[in-house]
Amino acid sequence: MSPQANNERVGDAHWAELMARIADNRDKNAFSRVYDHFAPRVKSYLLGQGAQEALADELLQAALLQVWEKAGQFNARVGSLSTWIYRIARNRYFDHLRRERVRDRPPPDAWLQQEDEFEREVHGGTQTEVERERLSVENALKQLPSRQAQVLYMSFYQGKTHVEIAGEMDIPLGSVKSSLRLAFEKLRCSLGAHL
Amino acid sequence: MNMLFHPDDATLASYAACGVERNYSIVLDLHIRECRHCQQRISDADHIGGALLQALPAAPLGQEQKAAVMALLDGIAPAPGVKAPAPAPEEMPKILEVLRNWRQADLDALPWKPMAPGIRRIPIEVPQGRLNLLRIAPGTCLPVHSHQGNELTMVLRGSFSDEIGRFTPGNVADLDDDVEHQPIADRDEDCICLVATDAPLRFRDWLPQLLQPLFRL
Ligand SMILES: [Zn+2]
Repeated sequence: MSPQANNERVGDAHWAELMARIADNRDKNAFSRVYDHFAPRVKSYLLGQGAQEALADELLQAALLQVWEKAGQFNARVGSLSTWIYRIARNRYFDHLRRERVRDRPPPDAWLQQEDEFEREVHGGTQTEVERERLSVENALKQLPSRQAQVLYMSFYQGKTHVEIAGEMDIPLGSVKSSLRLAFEKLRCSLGAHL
Repeated sequence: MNMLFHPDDATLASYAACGVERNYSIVLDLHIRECRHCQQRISDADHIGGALLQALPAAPLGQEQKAAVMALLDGIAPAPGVKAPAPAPEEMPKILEVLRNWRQADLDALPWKPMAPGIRRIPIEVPQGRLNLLRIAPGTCLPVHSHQGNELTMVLRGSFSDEIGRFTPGNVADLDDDVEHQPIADRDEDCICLVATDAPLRFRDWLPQLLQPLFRL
C-alpha cells in the first residue's frame, strides 16, 4: 500500500489486521502504519493536556512502544484501536504526573481487570459494530452545541476538573455538570444505538 | 451489587478522564468497584475518548523520532497475550486501606472524635479538597446545608434519608452547589458515611458562621 494510504480514514478491521500482524509476526511494516496514524494524534492529546514538547515526545515514544509490546492484548471485538491507544496514552500521562508528584489523579484502573469480559458481554461486538459505533460517536461529536463541546474537550482532553472548568469559562459549577452530562448522554446514545 | 443511587454522569465522565481530585476518586473507586452500571459508564467514556482521539488533528512529528522508535523495536520482546497482573497497591495511609475493605472492616475501632451532638468524625488527609468519615447517631438530623462546590457522599453503614431518597451502603449522593439538603440518619443504627467536598460545608441553622473554623469539615 502506498504511504498516502496512512493518512486516509481506514476501517477498524484494517487496524485489527495490522495489530494481529504485529502480535503474530512482529511485522514492522504494520507497526509503521499504526505509528503514522496514531503517534501524531497521541502527541496532540499530550500537548492538549499541557505536556511540554519534550515530555510529549518521551511519553509518546513509550506509548507506541507499548503498542508494539502488548499488541497481543488488543482485542478488536471489544473496542476500537483508538480506544485502546487512548487508554494507554492517558494512563502514561497521569502515571507520569503521579510519579513526579505533580498531580495525584490515578487513572481508573482498579476494576479494569474484569473489563474485557465485561465489555464483551455488553457490546457483544463484531468488528463492524465496533466501527459503526465509533463513526456514530464522531458524528454526534460534530453536532454538539459549542458549550457542551467545549466542556467535553476541557474535561477529556485537558483533564480539568469541574471546578477548574467553571473558573475558566466563568460559568456556574452546575452548568459545567449539566453541559458535560448532556454531552456525555448524547455521545453515549450514539454508542448504544447499535446494541 | 444493585445500587439505587450513582454518581452523576458528569462526575463519572470526569473520573474516567482523570479529571477529579483525589478526595473524590477515593469515594468513586469504592462505589465503582461494586457497581456494574458505573463500570459501563466508565467504559463508554473511554470509547468516547477513543473517538475523540481519532478526531484530533495530527501534530507534526519528525522522521528522526519515528526512526528512533523503529530502531528500538527489536529489543522489545512481545508480552504474552494476557493482561499483566495489576501493580501492587501503592503505599497508602492505613485509613485508606481500611476503607478499601470497608464492608469487612471494623469501623468501630477507628479513632472517632466527637464533633457535634450526635456526630463524630475522622478527617482524612488528602492532597486536594476535603475527605471526612462521619458517624451519625440514629435519628440525628443534620442541619440544612448547601455547599460551595461539589459534595460526594457514600454510605458505608446504616442509612440516611433526604429529599432525594434513602441511601443505604454503597449508594452515593452526588450534589453540587445548587442543592440544599437536609439528611437525617435513619433510626435503626449509626450511619457511617464517607464525604468528599471541595470546600468546608456551610451550615445554616446550626453553628454560627464564626464557629465554622473550629469544625472545618
Ligand atoms: Zn454506580
